[in-house]
Amino acid sequence: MRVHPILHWTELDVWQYVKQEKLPVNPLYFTNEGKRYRSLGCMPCTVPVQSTASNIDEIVHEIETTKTSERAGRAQDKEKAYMMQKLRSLGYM
Amino acid sequence: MIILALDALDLKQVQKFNSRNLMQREYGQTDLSDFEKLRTVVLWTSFLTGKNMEKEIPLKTQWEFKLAPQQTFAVSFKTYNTIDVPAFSFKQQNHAEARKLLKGYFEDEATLKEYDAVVWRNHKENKEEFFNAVGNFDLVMGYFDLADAIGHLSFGVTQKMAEVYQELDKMAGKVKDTDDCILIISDHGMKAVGRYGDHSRNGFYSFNQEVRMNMPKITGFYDLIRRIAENE
Repeated sequence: MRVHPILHWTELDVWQYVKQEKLPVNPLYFTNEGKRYRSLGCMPCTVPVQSTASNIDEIVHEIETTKTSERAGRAQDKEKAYMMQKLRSLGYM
Repeated sequence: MIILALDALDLKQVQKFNSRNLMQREYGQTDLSDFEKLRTVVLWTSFLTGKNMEKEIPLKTQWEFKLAPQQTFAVSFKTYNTIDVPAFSFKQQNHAEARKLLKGYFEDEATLKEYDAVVWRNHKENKEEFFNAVGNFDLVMGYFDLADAIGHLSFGVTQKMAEVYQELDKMAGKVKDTDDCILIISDHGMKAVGRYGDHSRNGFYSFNQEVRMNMPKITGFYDLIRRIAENE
């Protein structure tokens, strides 16, 4: 049996937990020359996004107000694509 | 009679969140095996008319589809008030706004927060109208799409779904101390796709009286509701 206790956590949940528990963070998540990584995967399939967030509070604020998905820098987000297709087939959009 | 039409209310979720008011004297799962696709408008019109409407409602124009009162069980009651019922008293503008934000979410033009806010706003508007109508008509039917609309983008987020089921359970609790016959019914259930939610065949019904239905078809309520209307 596989258990995924934090599968439902959103990107915001993760950062709020990081802040609360003062967890160490990979510096690639913070801005460097106007760009930062929101989601880290393998080198060829991960690209940085435009951002000025240089600390956890700024990251939390950015996520609360962004219109771009967490994995916009990832090559694929299969669940999201699948769901969009399903909702289209049901006539939602 | 009071009908709470709760889109995507799912038997397993009702049990998971222990929604005691939603689980009335008799409750269980509905049988949706007659339907190829689980489309909201098709299922609600089939419930209202007692006929499978799948072939009659084209996908492209489904949200604008409208039933004549005579096609439905509503006219069996001397007075009735339906709030936001699909293909009957559906609030086109409210739902179009929510669907626009849903599309916007997938196209990175709207946030989840913006979408959820409109869904909850629409819900609260319907809730106020519904409770104002209860007690003043022979039939009050209120449609609430909270579990469906929040569930599509957040079914895997337990905290959010708990809030939704708590809200719907509270509404059921608020009407339970009446002499009226109360039917709580969904069009379909919901299953998880990661954090998202897709329609499932696990639909739900619940009566505050014993009617002895076993896995009723969604078209099977029409005759029963008409009989209830005759006895009122």
